[in-house]
Amino acid sequence: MNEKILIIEDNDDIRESTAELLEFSGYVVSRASNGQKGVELAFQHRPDLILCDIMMPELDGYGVLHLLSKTPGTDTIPFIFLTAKAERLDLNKGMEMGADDYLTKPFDETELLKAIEGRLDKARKIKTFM
Amino acid sequence: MENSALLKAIVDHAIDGIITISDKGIIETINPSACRLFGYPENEVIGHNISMLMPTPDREQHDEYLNHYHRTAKKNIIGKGREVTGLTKYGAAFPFRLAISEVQFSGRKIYTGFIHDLSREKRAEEQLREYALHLEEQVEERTRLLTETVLALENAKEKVSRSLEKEVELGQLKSRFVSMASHEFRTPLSAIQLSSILIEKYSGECISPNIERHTAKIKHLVTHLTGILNDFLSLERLEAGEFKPVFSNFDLVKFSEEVTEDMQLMAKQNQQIIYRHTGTSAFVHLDPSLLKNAIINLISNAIKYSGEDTFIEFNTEVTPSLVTITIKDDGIGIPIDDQRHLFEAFFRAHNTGNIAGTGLGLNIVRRYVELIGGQVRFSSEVNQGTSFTLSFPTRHE
Repeated sequence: MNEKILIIEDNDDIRESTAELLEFSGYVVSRASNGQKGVELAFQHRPDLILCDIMMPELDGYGVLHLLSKTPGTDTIPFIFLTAKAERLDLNKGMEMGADDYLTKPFDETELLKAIEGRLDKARKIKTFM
Repeated sequence: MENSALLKAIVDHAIDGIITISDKGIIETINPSACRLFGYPENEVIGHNISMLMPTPDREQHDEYLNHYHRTAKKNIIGKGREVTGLTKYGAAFPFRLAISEVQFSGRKIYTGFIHDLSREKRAEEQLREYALHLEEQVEERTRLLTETVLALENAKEKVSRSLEKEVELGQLKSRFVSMASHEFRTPLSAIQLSSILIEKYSGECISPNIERHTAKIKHLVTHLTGILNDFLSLERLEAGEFKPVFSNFDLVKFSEEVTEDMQLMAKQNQQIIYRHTGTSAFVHLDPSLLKNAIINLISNAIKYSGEDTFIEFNTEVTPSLVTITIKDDGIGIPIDDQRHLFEAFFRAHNTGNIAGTGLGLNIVRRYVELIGGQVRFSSEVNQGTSFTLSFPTRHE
C-alpha cells in the first residue's frame, strides 16, 4: 500500500511542486493550504507522515503540531517542519514541541526524500514492534 | 619750662594734625601736620572760624553745633571721635578721623581736635571695593562662559544620543530587512528549486542533455543564492550576539571525512580534496555545527580560487594540547596588500576578478572560530596558493 503524506503549506507553488515531486516517488499526497485545514485533514485521513510549514496565517505550524500531538491517533504521526527560517532558535522550538525533523527551504529532492523515508522507516519499525 | 618745650616738640612733630579752637570756634593753634593736611600756612587760619576747613553743610552749621552743645551739654562728638570730611585750601575734600576733647585751660574752655588722615585707608578701601567689583564681574563672566559651555555640552549630548537612537533604529531596520529577505527570498527560491527538479522528472528517461544542463545550472544557482542569504543571516546574528556555541564531543576524523565527501561534489574537474589526520586520538570537544560551517567555507574558497586538476589538502591534527585544522590550496593566492583586510566584512582581494563572492565568508569563519575559542591564521602567496590554519586548545569534558 502506498503511504499517505499530508502537506500543509500556504504557498501554492511550494505545496503543489512538493506534492507532485512526492507523487513521482509513489506517495499518495493530500494538500492543505493552511493550518486549520491541515488539522482537519489529519483527523480525517490519518496520514502516515505530515510535512508542515511553520509560518502560516490562521494557525501556524507550531499550533498544528500542538493540536495533533494532543489528540490520540494523530500524536504518533511523524511530523516534519518545512521552514524558511534558518534560525536555530526557531528550529529548537519545533523540535522541543515534538517535531521529528525539519527541512530548511530551499530543500533539494535528496534531502526531502531522505527525511521522509527515514521517518517512515522508523514509524514502520515501531508499528511492527507493537 | 622743659616740659612745655617737650610738649611743643611732640605737637609739632605729630603725624596727626592738632588744632585748638576757642568756645566760639575760632582757631587758636594749628600744628604743621594740620597745615599740611589742609594746605594752609598757619597765619591764614589762626583767628579764623574753624568752619573754613569744612565743606558744606558742616561749614554753615558748625557755629550752631557749638551753641547746641553749650545749651544742652549733649556731647555728639566730643570725647568720641568720628569720621568726617575736611576741605583743603584748594577746595578738595578728604576724609579724616576727628577726635575732639574739651579742655579747661587758664579758666576758659577750649577744644582740641586730633585729625587723622584717612585718605590712604579710603583709597585702599576704594581699591578693595573696585577689586571686589572687578572680581565679581570676572566671576559673572566666567559663570556665563561656564553656563554657555554646559549648554553647548548638553546640546552635543543630545545630538549624540539622537544619532545613537538613529543608529539603533537603523540597526533594527537592517535586522528586520535581513530577516524579511531571508524568509521572502527563500520561499520563491524553494519553488524555483522544486520546479527545476520537476522539469527533469517530467522529461523522463530520455531527457535532453541540454535541458539537464540548464536545470543543473538553476539548481546550482539556487544553492549559491541560498548560501549568500545564509551568510547575511549569519552575519546579522553574529553581530546581534545571538550565537551561543554548543560544545560536544565528536570524532573529528569521521566528521572531516563526511565534510570531504560533501565538498568533493562541489569541486571542479579533477580537483581532488585530500584528507589526512595526524595523532592517535580523533575526539575533540568543540561546536560541530560552527566548525563545519567554518571548514566548508574555507574548502569552498579553496575550490573557488584554485583551478581544475589541482589538489586541495585538508589536514587535521589532535595533540594533547592543540587541535589544528589546515586547508591548503595552490590557487591564485592573496596579494600582500590585501592580506591585512582579509577578515573585514564585504572585503574582497583585488585578484578575485569575476569569481562570485560577497566578502563575508572569512569574516564569518573568524567569528565562528573565535566563538569556539580558536584562532585563524593564514599564509599566502600570489599564484602559489593559500593555506588557512584553525587552531583550538584541546578541551576534555
